[in-house]
Order: sequence, then structure tokens, then C-alpha cells
Amino acid sequence: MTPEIKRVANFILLMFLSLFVAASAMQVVNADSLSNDPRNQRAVYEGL
Amino acid sequence: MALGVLLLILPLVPFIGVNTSGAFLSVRLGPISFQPGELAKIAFIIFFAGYLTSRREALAVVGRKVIGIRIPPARELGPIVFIWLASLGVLVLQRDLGTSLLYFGLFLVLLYVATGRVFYVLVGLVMFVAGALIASRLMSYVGNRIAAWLDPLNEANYEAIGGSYQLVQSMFGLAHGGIFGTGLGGGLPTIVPLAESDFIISAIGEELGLAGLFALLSLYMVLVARALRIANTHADDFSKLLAVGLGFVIALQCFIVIGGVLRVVPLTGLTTPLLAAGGSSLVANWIIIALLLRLSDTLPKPGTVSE
Repeated sequence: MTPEIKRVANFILLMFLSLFVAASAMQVVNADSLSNDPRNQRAVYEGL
Repeated sequence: MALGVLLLILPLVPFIGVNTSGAFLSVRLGPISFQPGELAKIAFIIFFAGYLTSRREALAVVGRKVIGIRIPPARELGPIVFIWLASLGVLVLQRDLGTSLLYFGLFLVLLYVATGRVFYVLVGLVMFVAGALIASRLMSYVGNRIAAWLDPLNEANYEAIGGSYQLVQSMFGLAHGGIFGTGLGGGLPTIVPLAESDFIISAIGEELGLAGLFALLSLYMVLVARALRIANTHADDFSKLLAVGLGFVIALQCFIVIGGVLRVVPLTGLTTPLLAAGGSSLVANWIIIALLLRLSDTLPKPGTVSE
């Protein structure tokens, strides 16, 4: 079973890597366009 | 098995079942309410591990060879079909995509580890995707979720009831957090609906930033890695499968719920292990950790000669 467990471990690593990439994309790469969206109420609160 | 199924269908029982935002998940008995699905998770892992330990030889038997792929005897497909029907049943009757995916993924991984046959995984994935596609055609809530996932900023999806409003608010929050976050108490996570349960990741990402989110994900990875390490070092099959199952269920649950918020997979309602609001989930996850500790304790101590 050991090689299978290793493969499952690699698969889990892949799942977490995709989360890391997605978080980076959302919080850094697309952050500006999301912050400038007219539906974003946070800009209003920031202005106060 | 019977215990797991019983716990799973408990919320459907009239009078004690509670319908929370479209999903039948919790049971209310007087002042106490709990989500039996979380405890069913553990019952299922123990059952799968026990069942597969006794049946792995038979399941790994090589049957006829068709177009270069070895197909196991048809009767050995029985358990997969049963679990597939059960998880589709959860999807249809309890309207809960996340739980359905969690149980099915868990079963496939344990089946793969027990038998070493990729065939089961392929068949299982094809069956689940087919089932989910049919469900998304027949049931509007699954279709809405997928539309909201693919294009959340689209005006129609944003305005739709059960659409992407929540997801988009969470994306704004995460974007506001940036790399280092706004600091604890410095953000506005309350704008995001359900920031204490389904969207707790969005609150953490806003206040602690990308750095905090990475740290948190790494902690989950350490936890899962320890579980797999226990599985690897254990000698007997049952303990191995149990440890893999317990570790994988935490990993998959993290992936489904955090991936839902971060738009890796469609959003589904699961709790973030050990983090989100919900007592039953917390208790269930601590039970998982207790079981892992117990398994770890039966390992031969380093430096001593085992009998």
C-alpha cells in the first residue's frame, strides 16, 4: 500500500498547491480590479 | 455502516430535521441541535477501512482484459455502485453537494489505497461527474452554483437569488486584504454573509492577508502529512487505511470548502475543519485527531526493538 499512499500524498499536495495559487491570484493579481469594482462597498467605508 | 447511514438520513426525519438555507443537515432535539453528517463521516471511515481490509484481496483480483485495461469481475463493482447511489442520494435528498463529494472522494481514495487499482478511481470519477451533470440539469440549485462559480462577476449571476452575491463580496474582502492583510479587527469581514462559517476563510484572508492564509494552509498540510506518515509507518492494513482515511477527509474537506471560496471548485456548504462555527464539526474533527493520536501511539517507539 505504501506506493499508493505516496500517490495520495502527491494528490493532496496538488490540491493544496491549487489553493495557494488561487489565493495568490485573488489577493494579489486581481486585487486591483476587484477593489475598483463599483459594487465593492469597501471603497465607501475606506473613504470615511 | 448502518450507524453512518442512520446518522446521514437523520436530518430528513420530520419534526427533528432542520432546513437551513435549502440543505437538510442538522437535527434538533429540544435545545440541542447537531449535524449528524459530521459524525457519520467518522463512522464511514471506520467502516470503509474495515470493509476494505477484509475484501482487498478479492477487489484487487484481475479479471478479463478489455482494450488493454484489466476489468475486475462485475460483482466487485457492487460496492462502488452502492456508494455512488448513496452519495447521489445525499445530493438529491439533502441538497448538499459538498457532503456528497466528500464521501465519494473519501471512498475512492481508500479503495485505491487498498487495491492499488487506478481503474476504480477512473470508473468512480466518470460515474460521479456523470451523476453531478445530470443533477445540475435537473436541479436548479446545482446549476446556479456552477454558473456562479464560472462567472461570479456577471450581473445576472450576481443578482440571482442563490447567485454569486456572497462569493463576490468575499472576493472583494480577500482583494482588500492583499498580501499582509488589514490586521486583526482592521478589516470589514462582516460585509460578507456567513463570515463565521462557510466564508471564514474570507475573513481570515482579509485580516491576516495572503501571508496568514498561506500559514493556515500550511498548518493543515502539516496535520494531513502527519496522518499519512502514521499510515505509512503502521504495519497492519486496517490502521493504514484508517489513518489515510482520517487524513484525507481533512484534506478533502479543506479543499472543497476553501477551494469553493477561492473559486477553485464550485462553492458548497461544508465547514472548514477545526475553524468554522459549528459544534458538531468541531467535535468530529477533534475525534479525528484523537483517533490519529491513538494510532500513532500504537506505533513501535523509535529506538526500541519491537516484539
